[in-house]
Amino acid sequence: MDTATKKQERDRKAIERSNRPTRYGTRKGRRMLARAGFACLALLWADAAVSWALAPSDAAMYTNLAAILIAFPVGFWVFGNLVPATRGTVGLAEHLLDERQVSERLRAHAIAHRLGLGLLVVVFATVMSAMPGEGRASHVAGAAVLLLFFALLFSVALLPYLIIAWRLPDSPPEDEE
Amino acid sequence: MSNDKEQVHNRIAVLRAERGVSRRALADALGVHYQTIGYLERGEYSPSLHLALRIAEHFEVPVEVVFSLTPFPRLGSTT
Repeated sequence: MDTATKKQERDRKAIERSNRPTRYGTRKGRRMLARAGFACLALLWADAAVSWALAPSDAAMYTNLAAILIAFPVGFWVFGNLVPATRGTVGLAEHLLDERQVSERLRAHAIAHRLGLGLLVVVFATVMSAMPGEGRASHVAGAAVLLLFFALLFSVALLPYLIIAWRLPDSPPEDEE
Repeated sequence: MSNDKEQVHNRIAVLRAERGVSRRALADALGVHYQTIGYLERGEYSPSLHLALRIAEHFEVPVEVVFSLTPFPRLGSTT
């Protein structure tokens, strides 16, 4: 099988995967997935906030462990279901999408960009406020700053997909004939 | 999704029914997702000029037969 044929085969399989039946293919189902995804991101932010306030301590360590054990499996489950739930608008390569799907993806990226910028400003201001300065020492653990950046990283990376899942309208009914 | 000011009305559903073409068949012929045809018919998506011209070409009619900025008169109406 030559490279072009392999690519076509890969594309065909990706499209098939994106069109497989799913119980989350309705607007209600997609919004449920988006809520679960937003909750995972919120958990990462809460974990960073707890570490910011309490680290280094056992409480911060256990909170971190619990957040990771909940957020990552739930997050993988959410994103595994987003591809068929959005009929490929999340997940498929751009050349496999039509103009409506591309414009929906671009619109979601534009909204996510604004939100990401807001989060970036908040994180920057928070970290700067805790920097050691004249006459004061920093009381924030390095791990807390790391978790804050992890939360920011995951938010910037995943927000566009959650926004697509939130925004997509209900699918038109199948042909009546 | 377009707002009311940008609403483009179309007769895709009528033309499709008249020609006996399914949404999936039309979508395959145009190279778009079949749901895009549904969103177009429901007026929830306004096509690019390129797609509009291709839809008109597919039905072998002028583009203004398929698309209009004002609502199409109902079949049988005198106005």
